[in-house]
Amino acid sequence: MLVIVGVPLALGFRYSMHRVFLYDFNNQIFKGLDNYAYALSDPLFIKALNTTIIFTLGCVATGILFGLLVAFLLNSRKVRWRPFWVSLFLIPFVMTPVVGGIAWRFFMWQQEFGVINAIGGIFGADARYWLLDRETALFASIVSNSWHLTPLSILVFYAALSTIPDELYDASHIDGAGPFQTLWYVVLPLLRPHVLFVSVILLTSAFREFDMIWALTGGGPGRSTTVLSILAYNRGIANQDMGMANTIAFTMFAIMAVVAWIYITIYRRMLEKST
Amino acid sequence: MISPKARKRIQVFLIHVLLAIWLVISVLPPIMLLAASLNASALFRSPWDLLLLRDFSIENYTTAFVAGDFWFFFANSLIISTASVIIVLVTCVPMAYGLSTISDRARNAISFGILAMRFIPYVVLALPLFLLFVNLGLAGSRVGLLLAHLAIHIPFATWMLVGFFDAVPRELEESGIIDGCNAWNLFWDIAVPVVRSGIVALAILVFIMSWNEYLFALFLAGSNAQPLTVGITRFLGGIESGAQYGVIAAYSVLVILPVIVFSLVANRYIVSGMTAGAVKG
Amino acid sequence: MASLDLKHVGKSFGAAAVLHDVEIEIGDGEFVVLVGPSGCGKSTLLRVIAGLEEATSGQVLIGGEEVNDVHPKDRDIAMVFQNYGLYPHMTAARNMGFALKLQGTARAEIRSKIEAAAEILGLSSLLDRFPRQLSGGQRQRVAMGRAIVRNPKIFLFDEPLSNLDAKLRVQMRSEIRALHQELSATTVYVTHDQIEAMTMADKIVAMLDGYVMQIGSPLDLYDRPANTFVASFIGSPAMNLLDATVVHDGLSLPTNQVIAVPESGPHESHREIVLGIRPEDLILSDAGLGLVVKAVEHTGSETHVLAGLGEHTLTVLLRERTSLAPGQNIKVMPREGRIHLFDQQTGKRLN
Ligand SMILES: Nc1ncnc2c1ncn2[C@@H]1O[C@H](COP(=O)(O)OP(=O)(O)OP(=O)(O)O)[C@@H](O)[C@H]1O
Ligand SMILES: [Mg+2]
Repeated sequence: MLVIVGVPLALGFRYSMHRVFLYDFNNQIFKGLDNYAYALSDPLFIKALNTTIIFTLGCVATGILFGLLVAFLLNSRKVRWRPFWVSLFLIPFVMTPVVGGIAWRFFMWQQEFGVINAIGGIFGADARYWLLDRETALFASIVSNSWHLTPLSILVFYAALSTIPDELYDASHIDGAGPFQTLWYVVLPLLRPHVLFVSVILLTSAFREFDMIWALTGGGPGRSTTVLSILAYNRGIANQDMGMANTIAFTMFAIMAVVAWIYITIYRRMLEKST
Repeated sequence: MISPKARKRIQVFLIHVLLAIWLVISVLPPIMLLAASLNASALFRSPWDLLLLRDFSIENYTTAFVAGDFWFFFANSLIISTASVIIVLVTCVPMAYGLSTISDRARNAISFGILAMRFIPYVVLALPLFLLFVNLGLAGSRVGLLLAHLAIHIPFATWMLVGFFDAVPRELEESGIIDGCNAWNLFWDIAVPVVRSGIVALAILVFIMSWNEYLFALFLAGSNAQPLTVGITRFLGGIESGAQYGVIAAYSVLVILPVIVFSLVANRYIVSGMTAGAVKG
Repeated sequence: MASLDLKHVGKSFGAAAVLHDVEIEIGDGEFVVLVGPSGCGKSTLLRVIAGLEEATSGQVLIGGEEVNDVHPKDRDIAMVFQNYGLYPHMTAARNMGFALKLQGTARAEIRSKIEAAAEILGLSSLLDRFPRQLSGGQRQRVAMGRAIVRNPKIFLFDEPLSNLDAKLRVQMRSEIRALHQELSATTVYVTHDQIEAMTMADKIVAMLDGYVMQIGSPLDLYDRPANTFVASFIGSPAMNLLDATVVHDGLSLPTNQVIAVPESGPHESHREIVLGIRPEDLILSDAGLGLVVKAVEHTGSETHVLAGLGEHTLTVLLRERTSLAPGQNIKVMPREGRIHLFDQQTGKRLN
């Protein structure tokens, strides 16, 4: 396991400090941290970093929000056919992201006969070129990717909700809490560890997302949806600049390391509090 | 004034309506694919026309099979996914069992490491592996691609399985010892059967992850080892886009068919795998 | 404080009827215990009173006013749950003050009410702990504290002691009684433990399969059970019940032995009835029913003799130690006026 992950990491780190071009592979020159300095001063990199952050936060927020909402609906008393709902809500998650991207691109966001514009048309909205418009492409990507990720959060929250004993709902009923007060004072605090867990999973997977965006927009229009994964790919394969590509990838790695560290710290603290 | 009973009934009804709306959102993209794939010409039609199959035909599928070289990509996908599952099970089940029996401290350190690996963006591994495989002559081979998949699967699988094995009650193992089990019996006859449904869940998840994988394939598959995910994007680039939406849809349906069937048949396992470790973190 | 009346209360879940025509009057300040075997509908009845479930038919009246359509929070009741229903993420103090906080009570007032309740319950030093940091008995007390701070008209308890060990249960039993004496609020207490019912209640309501079988003071139910269910449910060891036939000079038992009938009993010959005698109402004597000792159990303070009458087994309770051994023949007599007679078909009391 160490080999299979460690070797590429070590190699990648080495490349990230060298000048490595695919067409000139044998002529590698050590650049130290210059690559990183260059990346950080490169407006394209900064823009991609920005895009990645917006994309990631958008997906996390949407995923958590709708996950909670649907899980609550699913867990309400008297809901019927729960296994049926669950099994179909799962589909966006298992569906191949590249194909998900294709489906959204050609049949949902498509300007002339896509579903979104068709529905918008019913309400009198103007048809938009969702994916071809710099203003909306990122938004559309966030929506599509959230669609793919939300089932995870629905299922985790639903599983967590179903472990809350009925007695607690009864107790808060008798204590005089309305539905929203029960939610705010009783249910959400109990879900806190699950919200943390889900947000971390969503965060890591949205941060590294490539497939979905690649299939939707290929990073365009312009560079409006070029996230770091796509930028690294473009640099490495299209520009053949493997040194820079690895530098970008390692910056992503560093960011994730910080996120992992924060997550583990919060998680530990939460554990300590609960013992 | 409506009576409280009627209000409750309306409330329950509304909940079902909202669930149905979410259901539509969830399945609409794949349904649109299916509908478009079953219409002769999917271009310049409203979604309603597509859904009503105004122009029914299955020709798109024949085209997809032939023009899209479907079976070549399908074979690669199937081989890589199946091999991933087998290798993951053979290596990770014993490894996770071992981890779950060793001392807490050593285990915490290791599972911390494993957890950390899950934070690694795939592109960080894909780039150097690409260069490495070019040097080793593994580029464009299924073995290389398989190795890359394992780099992702093994940490994930081990982490999940340790959780399952940890949940096996100690008394079971102790009563096994009293009944005369040796180490192998404890593992194979007691621990593994107890976590069997977890193992099934894991196997299904690994299969789906491998089947859906795209980034590694893009970097590492060369032209011989390309799976369906690459097949479909190449197909997309190769056709005059627009004119053949129906064929694209048909191809898409073929790609997702196995995972969708899996998720409908085995959703219980998938759900348990996805939610495993939610609290443990 | 208020009275609580249930009028013809029925409850069904879909097609399954769980409560049938329940009719109970509970006076102001009374301590009423609902008792019955598992699944007989005690919790359901309590939840109907609380407003957590809606009655399918009939009326619930608190202080003389119908509350069928009143929300639980407006019924001015407090409830202690079987598993305590404490919020795991709130400290003991916050658990207790939650209802007041929702009512918008001033913080200082909440604090003083919590402290007063904690004082009564001996919880003062535990207020900042979370439920998981408390023992079972302490959690139980917090749950009661949560009820007390609201100063409700009616307290509802659903098997609050069933998760405690035997010793703690006895202790909490008297604490709850003492608390009731102090607050003298109307209380409905559910249990399936007849000893709890006997020791705590002003009034017992015995239930079976959703029907009220008898209502009365503990000793009423013990001395004059209205039917075979109450007769066998109340009292430990349980009452001996034997099928018997009325004959001209008394009752003929399955072994054809005959014993005398009390004055008030039925006199029609050949009537099939059930004879009930409490174990402590059987006394060893020189004449009477002939039994064969099967086993002898000592509790220390009492001796239970299990003795065969044909294929039936009777329990005889003796206050003194005995040297009886299995296989021995003994003769017993029912104590004067302590015989219970029931109809064999309906199970209803006859004398
Ligand atoms: N929500 C419900 N839906 C359908 N049936 C129910 C429901 N709640 C209770 N019942 C049924 O009603 C009957 C009475 O249940 P209840 O919980 O009141 O019994 P109980 O007397 O409290 O028993 P226990 O001593 O075990 O707590 C049972 O047969 C139970 O199965
Ligand atoms: Mg109950």
